[in-house]
Amino acid sequence: MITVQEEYSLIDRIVAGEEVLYATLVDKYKSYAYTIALKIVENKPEAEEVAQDGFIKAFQHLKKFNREAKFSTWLYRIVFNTAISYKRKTKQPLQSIENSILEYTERADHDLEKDDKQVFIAQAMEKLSEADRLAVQLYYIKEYSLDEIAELSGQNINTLKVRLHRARQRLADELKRILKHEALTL
Amino acid sequence: MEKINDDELLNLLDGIGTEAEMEILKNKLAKDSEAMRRLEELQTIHAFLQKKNTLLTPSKNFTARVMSRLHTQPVLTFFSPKNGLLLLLGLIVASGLALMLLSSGTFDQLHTFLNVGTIPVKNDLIKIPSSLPFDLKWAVKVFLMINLVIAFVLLDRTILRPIFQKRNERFSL
Repeated sequence: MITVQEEYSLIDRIVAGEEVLYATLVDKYKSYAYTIALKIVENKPEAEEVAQDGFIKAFQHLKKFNREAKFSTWLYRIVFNTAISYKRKTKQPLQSIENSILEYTERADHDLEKDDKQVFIAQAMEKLSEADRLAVQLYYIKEYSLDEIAELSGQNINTLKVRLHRARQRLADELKRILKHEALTL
Repeated sequence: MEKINDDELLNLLDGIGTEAEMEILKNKLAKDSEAMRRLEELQTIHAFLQKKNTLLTPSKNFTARVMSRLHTQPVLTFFSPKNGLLLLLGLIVASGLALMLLSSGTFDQLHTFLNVGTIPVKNDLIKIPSSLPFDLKWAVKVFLMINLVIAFVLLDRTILRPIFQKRNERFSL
């Protein structure tokens, strides 16, 4: 585990020409970068491409990194923006992670447990707005604080807080509604 | 008794607030069965999201692939080759039309004077002329020049660079 100061000196050495050291930073942050990308583009190969592009962009602009924020926050912001612009650009009806879980569990649902709440929550997740769903997903990765998520996603912290509360309230309400409906149709 | 709202319950689940505040809330909850039921509903969602959203690991050669492409243009540039090509075609068509009209002499007679004498600016230091000559032929020429520059940039960024980049990657493998 390297400290922030050690990270800064590593960045100095990379900028000075020791490019191979960048692999240390890639190794350290690849999982979170990939997870962010996947939550946005919702497709594994594309998420890899987006995350890799994020790292390449960060490397090419490393000289501009002014150290006002942590390197990780700066990097994730680049990955976040790359993923968002990629998704806007392609606008494909991508297969959602929630959908894939839903399809699998729905099939299992018919054969095994009909009252599986997880399926219903996954269904309810689909009804959230994209921004609300993303806020919830990033928050629950539990790797970063609310302030850091607000910074990397370019949102005001209060807006993010409201978004998180509202999304979970909606999920709870939707789950209640689905369960009630299920109970009536039994 | 004051009703417990969802925000308070969510703060409790997130562990936001002081110990004293939490204690007060827990005491209030013990007496409020409706709020307790709501807490259980939110707790189900909270537990599901906690379980579902874990860090994911990319492929094994992720770092190697990033390191091999450090000096290349990111693959996912703003304009995809398809969009870039379409925009380039649009620019060529617009430029071609402008050029045709220009060579046929359509804009030759279209020059006029822009009246700026009515601008309500009082300035004793700079003398503003009462009118400015405006030649549409020149405006079209400027438009053509701008189109040409944009077309070259598009050609480079969206078509040529990705092609050479892919070729380099193929040779380096």
